[in-house]
Amino acid sequence: MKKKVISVLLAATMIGGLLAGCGSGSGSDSKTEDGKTKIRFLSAMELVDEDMIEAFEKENPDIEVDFDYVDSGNYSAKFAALASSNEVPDVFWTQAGYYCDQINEGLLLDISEYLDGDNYEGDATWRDTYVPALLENLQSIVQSGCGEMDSYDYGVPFTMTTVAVMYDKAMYEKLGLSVPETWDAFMANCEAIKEAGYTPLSVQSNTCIDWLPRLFWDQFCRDEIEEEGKSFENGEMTFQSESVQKGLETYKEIWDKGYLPENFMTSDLDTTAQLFLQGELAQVLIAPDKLEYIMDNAPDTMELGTYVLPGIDGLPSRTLGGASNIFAVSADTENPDAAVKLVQYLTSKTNFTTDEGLKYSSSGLVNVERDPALDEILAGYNAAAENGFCPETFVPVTVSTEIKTAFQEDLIPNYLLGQVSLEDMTTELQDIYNTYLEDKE
Amino acid sequence: MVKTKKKAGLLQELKESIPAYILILPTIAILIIFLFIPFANAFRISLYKYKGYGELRNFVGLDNYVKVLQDEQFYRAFGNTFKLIACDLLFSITIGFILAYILFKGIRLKRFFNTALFIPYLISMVVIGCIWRIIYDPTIGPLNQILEMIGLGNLAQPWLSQVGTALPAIIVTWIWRTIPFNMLICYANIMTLPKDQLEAAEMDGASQLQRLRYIIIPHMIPTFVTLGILTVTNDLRAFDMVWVMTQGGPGGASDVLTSYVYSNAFQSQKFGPATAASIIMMVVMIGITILLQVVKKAGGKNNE
Repeated sequence: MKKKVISVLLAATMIGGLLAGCGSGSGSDSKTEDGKTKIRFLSAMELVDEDMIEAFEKENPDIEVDFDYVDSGNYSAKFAALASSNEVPDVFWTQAGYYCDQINEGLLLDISEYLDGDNYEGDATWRDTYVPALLENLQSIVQSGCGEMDSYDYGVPFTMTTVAVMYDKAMYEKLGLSVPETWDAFMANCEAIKEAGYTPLSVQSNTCIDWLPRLFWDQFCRDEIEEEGKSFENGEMTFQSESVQKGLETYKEIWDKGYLPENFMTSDLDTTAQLFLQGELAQVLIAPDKLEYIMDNAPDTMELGTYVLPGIDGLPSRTLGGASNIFAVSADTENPDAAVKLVQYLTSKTNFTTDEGLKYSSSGLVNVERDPALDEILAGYNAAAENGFCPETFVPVTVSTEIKTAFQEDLIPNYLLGQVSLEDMTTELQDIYNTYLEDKE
Repeated sequence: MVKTKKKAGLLQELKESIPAYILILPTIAILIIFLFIPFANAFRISLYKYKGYGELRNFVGLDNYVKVLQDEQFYRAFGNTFKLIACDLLFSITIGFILAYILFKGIRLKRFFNTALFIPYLISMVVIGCIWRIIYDPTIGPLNQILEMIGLGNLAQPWLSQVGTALPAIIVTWIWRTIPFNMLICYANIMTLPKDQLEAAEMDGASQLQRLRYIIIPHMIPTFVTLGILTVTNDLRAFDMVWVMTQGGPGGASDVLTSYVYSNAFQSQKFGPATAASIIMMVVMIGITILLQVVKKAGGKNNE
């Protein structure tokens, strides 16, 4: 009998311990022991770090932020895991493809009322602090990805992303090159650079492998979409349209000519930056928020400069980006005011004028100006922004996570490497897009 | 009368077994919570179109299974997994055995080599993946630089960025990682070989090769079978190194089953097909494990 009692007690203790371990614990409590409001924050932006969060907590002593960083390559996995266990963070970073999916699933808080209220500093309406085109860019993402809605304000842009070519002026001088103003001049430069034994061009990392075709489409498809009013949604434009195919063919041509690095498909941001800093890569298509490593580690022999990639079809060269980094608030947050306060701080003048890591970024705010000394180096980004932004969902390869991933991870590499034909690639893209449209209905 | 006796005996047996049942209850609870419930949940997800969050709304039946079985990339990943297993079985066990035999024969600094050769096995897969990714890098990687230094510059290439070389490059790294384990197990087993057999063979004039062929290798066969089973079950779960080195790329050229499942679920947010693929993969793994056990048993009986 004694044996039985002991065994029952042992078993009960073990099961109890096991179940206790499965509980949600105190991690999700919205108040800390000392009465502070606790919010959870998930970011995939390298620019947002512990120092920035500390500065926020210092200014807002009644709020404690549980900060979690995940690199953008693993963001989708992390977010899905959190969302499936009903643990969506109070504030989180997101991006076009995910953003629309998250809105459609009802995971995001409509912040339009907050946007019409005061900004972080309390000296203006929050909405009015953003560059108007940037906010419109973000709203257009929601409109095209989610259809007609009562509100398009489910997040705010963090920095104004622009894309420009960074190059080493010293290398240009050595090779007798000048900044190209036309596409032909750009290609002639690439040829000269290649003949001199350098790699002519790359994009900042393999996660941006779709940048070049999207820039080409902005040129080749602009008239059809913006002048003639054709759209993918009503089927007047398809991935088999001549202009769409031309963009992909041009990309393949650049790859086949050997203008892109051999490790283009697998090169991450660090590898590309090192290649550039070692002088092996002559030009890199990069966004300002990824410049810090290059700017801080460039050798004295290097003289950095930036220019806008010339339009391949002779049209004004618009830039990719705009509102490509978004901060949003969870629809289920228990502390919407504190969560919004953090988002307001992140995109505030206070943050952009005090945080050292943000000095190379374009804030996207009307009341913040960048250090004039940097403007000379980063002139290409200003010029890119002046021409306006290519709509995020121009050719809809970023409209959903599924099509975005298939395009970037599977179809582009296989197409460039000659494993998939242009016809097969465009057919598959169209199939995925059609499924997306069916699901949307 | 006999029936009642039997019944009473059974009841008595059950009564006596109660403490045992209670003691295994935590284990059963763990199995239910961490294996059966997640499995049932995964099976349920595999019948839906699901993005990984939100409600399970869009029931599609067995469509996800059909999709996976019609997906060329699934078969490519399947094939790549078995290429990895085949190469690992062939090269890793063979090289592991050769190294173990060399250590058994005795060399200078035997202890140093014994430890040094085992080091790769102690390093985590992720770290190994990162190290070899740098080694294979076409511009800053030492492999291409060495090839150029020794006049084989024409062989230098972007190892992890080409369809034809990405998987072989991963397999080489994988084998490099698994050799030490195979070597250690082989070495431990060679050491159990009765010395008198080898001495008798030596006195009878058997050459080194003959001793290896007729004494050592037959002695090692059960070890090879066990290593084979361990290799297959371990390699079917290969993921971390592949993910760190290529993420299954370029364009899925180095995808293995696990990276196929992971990228479908967490990159493309196609949780339905991903869980369907993982269930198919689980069935295959169980099938292979049963097959290997049958082969092992049959081998054991033949040896008797």
